[in-house]
Amino acid sequence: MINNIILGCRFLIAALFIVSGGEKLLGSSEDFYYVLQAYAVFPDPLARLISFVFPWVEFSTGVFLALGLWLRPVLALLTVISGSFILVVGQAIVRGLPIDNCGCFGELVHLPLRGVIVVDVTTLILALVCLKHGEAVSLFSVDGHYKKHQP
Amino acid sequence: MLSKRELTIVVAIAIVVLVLGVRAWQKTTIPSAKGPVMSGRSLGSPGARVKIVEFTDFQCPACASAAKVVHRVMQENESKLFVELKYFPLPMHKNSRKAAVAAECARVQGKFWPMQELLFRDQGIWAIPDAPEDNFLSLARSVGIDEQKMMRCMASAAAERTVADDLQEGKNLGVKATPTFFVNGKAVVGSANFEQTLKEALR
Repeated sequence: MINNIILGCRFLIAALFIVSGGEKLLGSSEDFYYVLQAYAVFPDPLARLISFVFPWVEFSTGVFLALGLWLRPVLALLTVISGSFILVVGQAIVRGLPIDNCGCFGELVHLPLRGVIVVDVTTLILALVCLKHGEAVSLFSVDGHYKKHQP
Repeated sequence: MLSKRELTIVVAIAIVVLVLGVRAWQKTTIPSAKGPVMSGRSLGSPGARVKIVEFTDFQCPACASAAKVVHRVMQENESKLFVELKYFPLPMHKNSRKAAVAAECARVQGKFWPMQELLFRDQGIWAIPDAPEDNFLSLARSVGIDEQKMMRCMASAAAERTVADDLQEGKNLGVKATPTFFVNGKAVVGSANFEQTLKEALR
């Protein structure tokens, strides 16, 4: 039972990252750049760089997690990403920045900052749980397949 | 059987091909904008060679920068350009829709351009309060707008309808970010890309 729940967590996080990364990738990188500008935390050149690179990282991480390829490093990366989201959104809430929609899912889903921080904290906890239960999370995974067929 | 490293490379290539493929397909399906029309929100000559429609959001910092670029290129190429601004308030900006309504009400009184300039200049001020109407009225007063008429207009549904129509038009055209320009019907996002495309169109 617990194995199924943990496996469900893995696919849930993967879906979240595939959708949010995909939405950003299929939109313009300028779109995400303006979202980053609204958070007023990154200097302009860094915001431009992040707006170009991050959607690829987000989408690829989701795909790798869904496939179960390099599970531990991918889950560790997801933990870092979720932690960073919490910091960036948290500072926007504390500073009272005028942001009505987090912009994290492009135009697909509109979430207020307080809503998205709940999503981010939940993702972080789920990623940590998955990291802790390495055996369960590697069910139906490429990693598991390679482990089974190790010479 | 592929090694794990080889499989990783295959998956990475598949991701890149998938994303670039969908992007290329998207580009071929984006419709082009209707040409700009002469109104209180247009500048330049309607017979100009280069026609530009800009979808803007008054609370977006990049749109404030773009407004300066548009102003400069209009001064440099006045007879060759025709620009019309359309409202595209992004939902992530809490007061941008109200600002668009205020700009539309300024347009009704023939003061759209000075009002939009002030809205961009003071966007850091009116973006904060929950009810920015007093900020808009103060800006309107400073450009000689009749305050009573402005208040009536901001409370009416007509200006809101114009904003909603522009927003819907932008969405139908595939606009997602601001500023998005249509230079002779070709979509361009951001002021840097806009300047580049404009240079090519003016050649």
